[in-house]
Amino acid sequence: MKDKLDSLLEHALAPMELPEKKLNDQILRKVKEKKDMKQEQVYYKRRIPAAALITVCMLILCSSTALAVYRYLSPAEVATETNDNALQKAFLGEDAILVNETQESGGYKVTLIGSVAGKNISDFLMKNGKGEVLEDRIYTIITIERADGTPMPDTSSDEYGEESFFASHYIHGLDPNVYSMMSMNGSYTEFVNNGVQYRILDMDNIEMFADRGIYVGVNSGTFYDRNAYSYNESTGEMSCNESYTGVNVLFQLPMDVRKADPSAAEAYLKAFEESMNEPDETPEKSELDMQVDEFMEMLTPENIDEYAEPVESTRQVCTIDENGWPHYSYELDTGAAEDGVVLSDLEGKQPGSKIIEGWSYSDSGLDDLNIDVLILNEDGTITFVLYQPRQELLYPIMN
Amino acid sequence: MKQEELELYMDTYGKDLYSFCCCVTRNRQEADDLYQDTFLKVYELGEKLVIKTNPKSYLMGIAFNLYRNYKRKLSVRQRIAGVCVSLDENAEMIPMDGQLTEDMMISKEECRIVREAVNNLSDKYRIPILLFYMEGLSQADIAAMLRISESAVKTRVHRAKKILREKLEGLL
Repeated sequence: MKDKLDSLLEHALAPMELPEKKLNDQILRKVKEKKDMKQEQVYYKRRIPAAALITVCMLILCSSTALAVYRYLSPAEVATETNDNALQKAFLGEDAILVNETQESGGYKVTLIGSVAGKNISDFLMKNGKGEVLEDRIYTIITIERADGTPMPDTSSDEYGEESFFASHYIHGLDPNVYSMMSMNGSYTEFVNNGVQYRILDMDNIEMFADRGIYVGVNSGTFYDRNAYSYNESTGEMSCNESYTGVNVLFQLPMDVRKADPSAAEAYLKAFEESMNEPDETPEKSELDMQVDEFMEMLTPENIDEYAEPVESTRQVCTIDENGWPHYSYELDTGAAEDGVVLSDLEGKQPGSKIIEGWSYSDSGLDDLNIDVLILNEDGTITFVLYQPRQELLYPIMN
Repeated sequence: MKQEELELYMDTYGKDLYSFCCCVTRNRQEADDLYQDTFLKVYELGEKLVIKTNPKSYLMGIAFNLYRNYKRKLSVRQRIAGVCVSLDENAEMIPMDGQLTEDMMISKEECRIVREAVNNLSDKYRIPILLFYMEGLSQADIAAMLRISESAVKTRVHRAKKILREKLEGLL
């Protein structure tokens, strides 16, 4: 029985916080970007070649600058570690930018090692969602290490990935929440060497924006975090948010402004806008998915009894829960139990009408397909009953 | 899961979920992140499956697990890197301005006192109380979500109420 404390708690704790619309919009945009991004992660274990060790010993004897080089693999060595000979050559070329700048944030040291851009400068080119090979790319190497000197977990350890980082190039004057690795065909390759995590970022070549200014940012988490940075829409400036708890660093990539191409940049942005407005592509489906799709496409409320049969033990008149939702629950002989609410709008339906509310299946596809069916009753109540495909019809479909 | 389904869940359960996120994190920024991560996770998990269990319970379960992971990672980070981030100490307290109207049984001030008392409970008692009174989940749903027995949920709710009864004596 409810007492006064129950009532007090119910009233005081009633949900009253509404998320801002822009937060919901941001989630939907990220979902779209996530779908578009073909992220490839390749993990390597580092073997230190003897030649590299000799080089290291010599460098230690030379100078403090050399010491900095020793602490991190050179860009070409990083590329070699990932078995990317073309990228190694590119980093040894004169167009490569070497930076070696370190920033510390949130207990981590992040170093921008260097960058190179161009067409076909990697042995591993990506395809976009349309199957087009992405030839013109920018590759930037960063390292992440713990400020207290404890090693970063190796990619093969269980600890690896517990602390995640999002790294991306950004363009001065373009909203980083929209224009980043996530939306510009980005991917990265990562490995850990001597307790230092190396990451090669690659995305569409943005040299054409060189006159605007290019940033490289790293923040905690798996997405761009708007709390990590401030973006001034009027000046186009991006800066780190000092009050952010976690890692947030931002580097200026010293790019040759002569590489800028405003007309190409304009064309890129136009194509980008168009691609963002394209309807979502249907994700690739497995054979089981397609069998279920084929079965469900054939099924209508009128012919459902021909192809599927009701599980009578699940038949019930829905009760209305405290939130006003028609509610049902059932337990199958297999022990599987479900507790759900009706989400379909039945307004305007005739009494006696059947509605296929939804369906679900797991790895077995049609074999464990459950179809939720609703029947609108004369008195306005709703009957729920679960249907399953008729076994005798399954084999022709599955074969 | 289709984007339209995600939008439907946002429309239907956004307020419930966001209120829960605000209360467990006690911090607007963290609440935004938890809310966002929950829906992104739902999308990630639900690409093949049509959610047919109680969707609200499903959402809260994901939010709770993310919150638990977040806390675990935070404590690891504190141990390793010495980053002093405390949800309590640095928290931006969320103003609990609600849409309470005069005809409601209790005043805004009373609400604030009750919420503060609940906020001061340890997670062990606070989470079941929030799930039960704020989200209206059944004790069976809460048990499944927290991976404890139903009787343990009853015990926690009972003990939490005992603590709250003492703290809120003046209101009862």
